[in-house]
Amino acid sequence: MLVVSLIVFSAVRLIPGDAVDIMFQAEAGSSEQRDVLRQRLGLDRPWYVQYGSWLGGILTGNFGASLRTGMDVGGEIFRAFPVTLELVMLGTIIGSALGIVLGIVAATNRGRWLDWLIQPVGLVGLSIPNFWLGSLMLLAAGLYFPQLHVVGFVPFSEDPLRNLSVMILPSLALGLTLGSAVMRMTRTSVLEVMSQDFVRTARAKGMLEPSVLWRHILRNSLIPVITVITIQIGVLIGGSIVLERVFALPGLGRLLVTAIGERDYPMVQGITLLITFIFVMINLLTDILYRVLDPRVKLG
Amino acid sequence: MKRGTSMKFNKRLLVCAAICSALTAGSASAQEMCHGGTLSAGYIADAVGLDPHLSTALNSELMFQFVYSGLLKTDNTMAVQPDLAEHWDISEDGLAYTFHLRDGVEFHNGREMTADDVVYSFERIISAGGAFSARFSDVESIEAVDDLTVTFTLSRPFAPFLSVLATTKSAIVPKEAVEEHGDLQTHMVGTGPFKFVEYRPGTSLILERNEDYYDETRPYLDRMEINVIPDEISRITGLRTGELDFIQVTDPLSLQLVESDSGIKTDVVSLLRRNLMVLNVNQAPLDNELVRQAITVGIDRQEVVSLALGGSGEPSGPFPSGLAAWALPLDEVPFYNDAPDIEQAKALLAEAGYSDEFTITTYAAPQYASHIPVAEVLQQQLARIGITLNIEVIEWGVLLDHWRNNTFETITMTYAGRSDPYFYTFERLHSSSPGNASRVSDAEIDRLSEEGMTISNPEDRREIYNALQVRMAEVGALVYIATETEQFAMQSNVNGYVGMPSGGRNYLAEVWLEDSCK
Repeated sequence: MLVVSLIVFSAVRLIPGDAVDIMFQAEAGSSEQRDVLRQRLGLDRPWYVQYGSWLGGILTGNFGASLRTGMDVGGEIFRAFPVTLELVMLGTIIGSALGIVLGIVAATNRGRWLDWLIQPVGLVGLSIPNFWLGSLMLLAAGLYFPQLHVVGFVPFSEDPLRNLSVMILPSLALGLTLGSAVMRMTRTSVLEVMSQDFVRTARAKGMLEPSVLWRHILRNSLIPVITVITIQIGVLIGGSIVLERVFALPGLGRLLVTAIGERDYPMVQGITLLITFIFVMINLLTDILYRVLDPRVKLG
Repeated sequence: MKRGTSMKFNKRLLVCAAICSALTAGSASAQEMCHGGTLSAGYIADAVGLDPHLSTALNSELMFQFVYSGLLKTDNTMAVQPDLAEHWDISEDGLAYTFHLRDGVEFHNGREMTADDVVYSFERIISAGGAFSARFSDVESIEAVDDLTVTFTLSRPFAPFLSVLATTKSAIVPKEAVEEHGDLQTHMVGTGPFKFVEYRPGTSLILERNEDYYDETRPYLDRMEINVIPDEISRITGLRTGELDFIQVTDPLSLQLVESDSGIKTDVVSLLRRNLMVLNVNQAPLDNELVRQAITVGIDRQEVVSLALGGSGEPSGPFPSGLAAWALPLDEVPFYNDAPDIEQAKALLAEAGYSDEFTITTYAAPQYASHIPVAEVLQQQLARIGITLNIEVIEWGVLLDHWRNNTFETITMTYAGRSDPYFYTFERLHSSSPGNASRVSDAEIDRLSEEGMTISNPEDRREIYNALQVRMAEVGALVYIATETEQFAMQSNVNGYVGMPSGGRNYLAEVWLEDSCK
């Protein structure tokens, strides 16, 4: 994480364009006047001092103040994070559920019309960029479901119904891409396991088909699926950045994009650091999940 | 849309119902007495901090402007009007400005506003640093003569001073609110027509009627909700489903889409902001005045309007036409003909010794919708006079870097418009101004723009600026192209909205809803 923090810190400063110059836009403003502002923001200090004070702040839970608004970066992230988290979680749930169910249906109906129907849908789902899908959904919702709220995000804790009504479309748009990937993986994996000897043995000893599917096939075919899901969560976080803009959700992605455009260094650093941390945590979680699904995998 | 149900609201409704039913008989002015209702607006971008003195973004102004008042304000013709100052005197030498404040104005926290608050607010503006503070660099002292009188003393005459005071950033704030919250970035206390209720960053700003506003009949609305919806389709969907009453529309095609809806009306506002090409006079071949004149005369401004600006906008000379009191008609400005003069352009290039084709590069950024399309049309047009325009698309922050450091050949961009000619002349072209991106240094421009800044007699000033506009066209460091427009769409019951050439939303505070009367 220390290395990451240094990379993040230098990367945002390597982008050409200067925070103070962007604040002045294309307005007059002498170099003295710009220096006054630079001094007020602490950008006149040497980089290692800035890095040191930023790192020191983080260790005590202080992410610094936004260059643009002077507001606490930690507070802003804290407010935006739950929105992105909810979006990614709903997207993951929708995507995994859809993908696994359709994948099993396709696999057990291999070669029949259901399989032929599901497969191309999966391909299309993978190929369509989710922001475009999101825009289409919005247009359709405006025409056919005017009762769905498309604006005015409220936190889940305040008005769960309205919150879900706002979140349903972006979650669907996000989940469909994941669903397609999961579906394809599930289908392949289930087919592979189905052709193995222990499945034939299970059937031969007279087990009922549902229980063969549930106890033997699924359990053994889910490990690659879990891998796909966790890898795709990274893609989902990326996708949510664009979708948050399309659906006007006040999440991390929107905060990050705005901050980059304005060279709001502390804000970009804080968000990037948090996202890196989440990635590391997800990888850890994946390893733990493997063990739950397959007791043969040892921890450590 | 939520409706207020307080006792106060009901009482007003009753009064209104009585008056309105008495006066309805087809009279629109009778309906203007309608109070009540909530306006739900859809903005493209969120504020970048709400503090009028610390925030630098126009998007912030579009939100905090309803909560604050200044000494002066501008109307939709960009003329200065009294606000918290009822009247003012300017000393003979143009150095002392004395303002007489309105009596009995209260901040939203209930405390009466006095001259001390004015002094405090302007000291805060000056110490903030930034482009706006720089406009006060000639202020020597600010003094509260008594509770209702304030005097500003300048170190040299500065004719555009009133127009600086009339911008929304010259807001009067109470000291105790700043001290309580540290700054006013997330909390607002002013003297304006609306009071702050709640701000959810990235989502919405909620305001309610200031019952103690100094103008007793205003505002008409009970509540205003400003929603931040960056995506155009979302805004339009919100308007069509009735969740929103007022939205900004950026794409002319989307405007046509909503225009066909019944119950929705649209408004196109002509802005002072205009597209222009900034030429670097330090780089050959643009160091040659004749080459710059050839570009100026060879461009078809009307074609740029129809091809790149969706047909809305107007060809612009040195001053935008919206600056009506000052702008010369284009036929009185050299090189700004109605139609492009290809022959003259080629002759000028030949005279300059550039009869062969040559290439220049322009930077443009996708930050604003018009910049790249305008550059593309210019590319076609300049090809006709033998200049190959090479468009390089770069990020806005990088572009500003080049702009400030004079490391470019040309930049295709927009300059914001303001209400006084000073901002188009001294700030943009005086050899000492940091806003002079072309780095032009012309003795006549310097002399005239200094005179225009210090002489406040309107007649003399007009003559100075007439001569200056001609000289600006001859020098040609900035090639002005066309003004921009802003488009709005609203429910048909939204009345009283007038667009501002400055891009401000001042008149949203004046809006009344037709059906809130029934």
